[in-house]
Amino acid sequence: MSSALDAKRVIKSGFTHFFRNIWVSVAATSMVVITLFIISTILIFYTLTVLSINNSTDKVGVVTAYFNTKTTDKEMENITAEIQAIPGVKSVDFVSNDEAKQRFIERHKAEPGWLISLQQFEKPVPASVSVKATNLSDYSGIYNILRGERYAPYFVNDQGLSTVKDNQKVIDKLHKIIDFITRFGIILALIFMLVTIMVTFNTIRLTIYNRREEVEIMRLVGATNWFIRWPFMIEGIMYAIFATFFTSLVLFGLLYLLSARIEEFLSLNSLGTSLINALFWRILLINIVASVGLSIIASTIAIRRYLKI
Amino acid sequence: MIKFDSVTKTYGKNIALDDVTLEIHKGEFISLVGQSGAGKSTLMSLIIGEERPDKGKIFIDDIDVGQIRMSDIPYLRRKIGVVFQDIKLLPNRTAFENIAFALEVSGESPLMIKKEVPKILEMVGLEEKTKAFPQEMSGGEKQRVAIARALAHKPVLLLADEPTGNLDSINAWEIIQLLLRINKSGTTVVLATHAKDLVNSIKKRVVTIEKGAVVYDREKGKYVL
Repeated sequence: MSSALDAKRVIKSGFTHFFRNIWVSVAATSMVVITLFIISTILIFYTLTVLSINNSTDKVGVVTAYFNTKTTDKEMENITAEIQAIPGVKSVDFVSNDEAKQRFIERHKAEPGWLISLQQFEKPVPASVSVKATNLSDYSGIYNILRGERYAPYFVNDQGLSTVKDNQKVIDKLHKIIDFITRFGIILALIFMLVTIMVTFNTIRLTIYNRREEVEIMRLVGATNWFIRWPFMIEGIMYAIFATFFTSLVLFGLLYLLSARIEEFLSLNSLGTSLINALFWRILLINIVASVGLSIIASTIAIRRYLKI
Repeated sequence: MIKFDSVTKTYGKNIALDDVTLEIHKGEFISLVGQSGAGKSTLMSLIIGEERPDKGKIFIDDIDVGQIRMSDIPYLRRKIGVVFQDIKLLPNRTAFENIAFALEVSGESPLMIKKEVPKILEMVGLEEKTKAFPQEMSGGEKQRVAIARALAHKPVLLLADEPTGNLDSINAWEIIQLLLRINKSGTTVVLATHAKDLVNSIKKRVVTIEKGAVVYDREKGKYVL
């Protein structure tokens, strides 16, 4: 007796029954396909939103702090280095007085009034640091640190007001969008996962019922429990594999056709990575794990409950 | 070979077997008779480990069937061939495939199956029906395929539960003759039946069960209810 031979027979039996009851199999596979499409769509929306938000955060999500007039060049250099070391800080862009002045002139070169007023001050435009965070959620922490006591000697102006500014409202809004998509997506995915488990469970239950005579004969001629159980498990796993294959094929086609437009629409070119690379392989992996996992859960419950050995 | 030692089995308030003590020796042919519900099928279910006794012990050789682990039951069943009144053949498989099925589930190689199945079919006189599906065979032929399947593992014991129940007298007599031949080759046979004439013509040991108890047990006995 060889277990490799047994495994081959069990797998063959699973395949045979999958194709013998093709319409039942198609119905169960379709349900898994629907769930995988929903999971995939949610993942695509989520990833695109996060990519898009991260992209816009690079433009708006910056904490800017203006040095007051008392701060020396040496202090500015030290503070910049210190901020760089704060956890969650991705980059610090230091703009000196001269550089800030140059930028001001460049921006207002068509408005002579502004340029004249510029000459009346010793340091007309303050030096500043623009801080970018690694994650969206790090911004409020960085903002609070810069407004704290440690940095007050540099970032509080002559009127005693803090010079630390951020785009908190915009960031909060972006946060809310991501939160909503995550919550809505998880709830929707969970509902469909449950429905898939129920449909697969019911299909396996029906298969067990249809093959009750065969199971009885197997028991009587001395088949081991796993030899009786595994063909049903294989059938469940086959719904998952066929569903993943079909869903992935359609998704790959859609992403291939639409990725250029999506990247252009969301201005994602700067990411330097193809949308297919960023999304498809991850979705494929999640789909395989989700579908096979759900099928195993459903088949196991049905087998334990209805397959009398 | 098989020993029932004060075995009691109940289903709720119904007593299926009541303190049964019975010994079946190696190579014996026993006709087990009794009315429907007397306990014959329960006795057979206990032998193959389908049911467990409430009291007492059942031994097959030195294996205590009542204490056997669930995972060992398949291996016990490979030592015992079982035949039923309703035959239980797989309709979408040929005679060859139905017998091969029993060998496949116990992990026998395709080569061994190809070699053994024709021999078993020959033994039951169905070498011409290798490729026939159950619906293409008569009741007697189907029952012989079922017996062939039961013999696939070369069992030491063959349990036949009403194997002639659905057959005409000629086919029934042929099945009994086949069981006697199998017994002659060394396999212990336990035949549960209602067929009075058949039992009387066999002239082997007869055990009568009534209301779950053994009421008659005689070598070369007769059908007594």
